[in-house]
Amino acid sequence: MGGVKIMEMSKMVLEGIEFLLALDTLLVLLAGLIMGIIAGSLPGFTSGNACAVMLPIIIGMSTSYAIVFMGGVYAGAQYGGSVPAILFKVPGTAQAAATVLDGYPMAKQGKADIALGVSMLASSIGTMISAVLAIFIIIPMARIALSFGPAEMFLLALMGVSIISNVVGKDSKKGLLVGALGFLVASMPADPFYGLPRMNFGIIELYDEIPLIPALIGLFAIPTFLSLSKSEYIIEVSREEVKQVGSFSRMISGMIAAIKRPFNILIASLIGTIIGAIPGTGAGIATFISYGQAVALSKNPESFGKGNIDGIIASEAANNGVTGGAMIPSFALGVPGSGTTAIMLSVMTIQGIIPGPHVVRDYGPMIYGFLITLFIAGLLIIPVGLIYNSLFSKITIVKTSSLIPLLVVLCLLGAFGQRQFIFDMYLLLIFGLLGVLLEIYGFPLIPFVFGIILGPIAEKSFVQAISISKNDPRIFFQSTICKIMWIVIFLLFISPLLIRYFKKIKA
Amino acid sequence: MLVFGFILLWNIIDTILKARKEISKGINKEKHETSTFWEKNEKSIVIFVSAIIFIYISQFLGFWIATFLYITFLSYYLGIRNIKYLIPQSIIITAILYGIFGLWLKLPLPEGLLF
Repeated sequence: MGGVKIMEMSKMVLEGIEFLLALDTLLVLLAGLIMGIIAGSLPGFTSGNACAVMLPIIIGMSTSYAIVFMGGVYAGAQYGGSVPAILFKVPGTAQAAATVLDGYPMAKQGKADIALGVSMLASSIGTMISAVLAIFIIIPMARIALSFGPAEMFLLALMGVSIISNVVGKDSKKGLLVGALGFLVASMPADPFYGLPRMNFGIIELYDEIPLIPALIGLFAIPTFLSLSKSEYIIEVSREEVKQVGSFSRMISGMIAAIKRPFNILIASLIGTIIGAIPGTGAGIATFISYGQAVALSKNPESFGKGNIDGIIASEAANNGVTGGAMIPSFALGVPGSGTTAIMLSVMTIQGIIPGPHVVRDYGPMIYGFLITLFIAGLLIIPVGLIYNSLFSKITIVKTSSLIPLLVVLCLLGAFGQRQFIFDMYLLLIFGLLGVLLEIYGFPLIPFVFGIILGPIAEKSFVQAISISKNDPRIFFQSTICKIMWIVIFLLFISPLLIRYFKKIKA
Repeated sequence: MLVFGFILLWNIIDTILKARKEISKGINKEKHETSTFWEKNEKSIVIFVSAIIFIYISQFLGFWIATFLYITFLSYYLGIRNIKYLIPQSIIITAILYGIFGLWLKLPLPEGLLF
């Protein structure tokens, strides 16, 4: 049995390599990686909204190129966030926040290049390890998930939204509300079984579906560049400070210093991969858990926060480890592991591949090819990072006043591109307004996106399950997997109350 | 199921009550400093409203001419006042976008009388 699995898997991996050997795949990957590093190093841009802004171009590609491109953006952005974190104490992405703790003190001591080298190597190896782990975990996981019936699929979607709502943001109730709002928006188009119009406000464009692309671009991109418009330059720093950075030899010596600590890199990458594989947890949590772990394991914990290389390794290897980890639930279960993979799955949906456990069975070589390109993206981080860091001072000159008009038009084009309705451009602005309002009042955006993507899956499997059991709701409690999932969902709902209760007891 | 329903309902009511408090706090703050809301959000509102006008106008003028006008307007508004720099920049951005979306991807964008 095991032998058969390995044979099957190695065949898929080989086919994946064949797909990869085409030169244009590598070029697409390289382009994605460069875009990702640039986006990641600009404060305010994450891999998620970088993908959202570039969606009009991504939709024009074939599915395999599109996911390779986005994989490159993802890996690149996770690394890119560390560059401004080390140099200016401004994390480019939220995931690089833990890098600041030790990276910035090193830069202050004049060892900025060494810190950059360390983060480059840690990110690179973190990505590679997580990609390899993803290759080995996805097949067995999808195999289990293939036995899921509609009842289990419904619970899986419900669980995905519950997990992300509880994990993202400070207030889990706000997360749940936003997740429920996502479900509500997902149920706006006509009933998929009887074709009865529902909440379409009499607008014919909303009868068929809520188009995902305008919604995603609106939610992710518009709040970003509205807040970007408040500053004059993309990164507000003194020009003199940046010019001194970018010595190749010192960056390489930093890499050598990092590679002498293989154990730390391995642990941090494993933590990143495991936490990334839990839908929705994301890299922000992974980096801090990994950082805490590094402090606990260290022989001299008091040196952390004052420029310890291990601190940078812990943070950077973990946030790049998340890239591979997030692919595991996305491809094996169809439940996105993060904001970027949510966009990835929606692009696949638009091109006719419905996310779910059968994706690995039907499109195995493509998925494996993609995971191998993720591995290569890890390798490419080092040369691209070396060149990028030496050119970094030029990027800080770009003014927001020339960038924002371009971004607005790009977003509108992206919204128009999916269905070619003028209405979708207005829809983009409506979702943008919603995104801005949600952000002002401190609601997390990602549960909403999860709700929109998982809503139709949940609805379809719920109706299927109910019609199989002839309107008997006991079908949702029959199998063992169902029972386990109910317990997990119940614990998730209860956990904020429990935490509050324990805090009261302590106080 | 009922238990879940109750927990969710309780959560929702609690959140709404909290949000109300926050909003009323926010309104009180705004009363004290009435002029700042516009000053703080002027750029965001202009970007937003001009985007709506842009979409509307593009259906008469054609998308690309409207794009050129929109980019010129927004760059000027956001702080590029040098016309020698402003006009070429808008032309180049519009041309690149036209190259990608008009010629390469062949999006059937709204056309106007001229272009």
